[in-house]
Amino acid sequence: MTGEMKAEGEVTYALICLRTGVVLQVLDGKPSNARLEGLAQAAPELCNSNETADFSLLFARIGSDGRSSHFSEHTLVSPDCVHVIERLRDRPDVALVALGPGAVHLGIVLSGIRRKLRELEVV
Amino acid sequence: MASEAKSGFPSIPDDSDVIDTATSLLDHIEDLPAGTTGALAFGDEGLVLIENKRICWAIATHMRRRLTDILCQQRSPPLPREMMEDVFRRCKKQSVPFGELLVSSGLVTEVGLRAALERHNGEAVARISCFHVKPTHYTSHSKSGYDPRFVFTPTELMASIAMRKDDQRKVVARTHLGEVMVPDATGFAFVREPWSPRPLLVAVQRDSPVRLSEVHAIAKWATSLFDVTTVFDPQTAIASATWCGSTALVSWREGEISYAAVCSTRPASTLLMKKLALRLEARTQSASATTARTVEGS
Repeated sequence: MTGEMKAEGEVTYALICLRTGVVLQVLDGKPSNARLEGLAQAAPELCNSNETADFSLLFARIGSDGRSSHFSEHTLVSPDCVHVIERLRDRPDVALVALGPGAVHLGIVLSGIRRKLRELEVV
Repeated sequence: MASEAKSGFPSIPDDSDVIDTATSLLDHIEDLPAGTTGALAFGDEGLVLIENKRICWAIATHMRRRLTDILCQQRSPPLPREMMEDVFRRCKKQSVPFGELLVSSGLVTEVGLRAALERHNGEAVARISCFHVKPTHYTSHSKSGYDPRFVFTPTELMASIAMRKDDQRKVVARTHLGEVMVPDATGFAFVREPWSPRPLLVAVQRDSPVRLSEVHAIAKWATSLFDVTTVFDPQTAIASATWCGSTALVSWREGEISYAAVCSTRPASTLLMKKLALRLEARTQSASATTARTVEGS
């Protein structure tokens, strides 16, 4: 098994509630863990910040072609873990999160969660 | 005044309020209509010359140190003041811009002149702002003519004022931004100090389109974000947030300085994140190797 395949297998995906900070479902039969619970708990504050009011004008000025009032994706990287939060388009109070190993596997985690998001949005 | 001598900027009181007053004055300049070119007077306290809302020249009444003093002090030993005065006389006679003649004469480099002008203009703006004077009148100029190499955004001057006592941090931040920034992204550096209610700007990329108020908002957002991440991972060092699928904010920490960048395209934020992640991985491995050697040695 290549290093990349091993890293892909270590990524945990889950659905979380952006109102209550609760883990709704861990995907692929994996168990929950303390880091996932902590990320879910912090997600409402990360994703529902009121401090984004100034940003819509800034982004419009630098060329954003869409209208939004919030960030759609958050990526947080530490030496040990990559955390990604993707707000679902059709369920704005729910987000898909991914936790993967180490900063060096950033690309794997990002491509993985985007693939998983497409699968969820098709269903 | 003794407090002025300590500040490293002889004309500015050593007072944390200067950050607030200077911010207020520079915000006013940024709020002017697009393309504003002219002279903004602040009663008897000073004058700021603006071209397309960039600051070209600022002078405060009773400034204790002038541009020529700053230029002379750049060299070791300092240049004799008479040399500067001679160039000034020649530039008036030949109707050539002072800066252009200074650089062509070899007395200062282009980089040195820009640094001196940044320092002078920052000092002047800070001094004017300390008197809490609102602009008293404005004279529009139809002609522009300042060399774009030597004009400054309000954000650049704010960084100069905030870091007036800390050239070292400014150099570290500028060097770092030069190493990591990517096309279609504009970045700045900031720090948190216990005596300041807002993050302090350390350095900003030249000609950044991000307004001073936006820089403060982004720094505040980034600071809050890293505070929240301590819940699940206190070692979080890099963060990004995507807006409408293409534009993004990226923020990261290296050493005691925090950084943020506004990315106008998806490839820009992806590339920047990748660069930062590789740097983080390299630092982590280096720290682990050092720890292993220390343990072996003991």
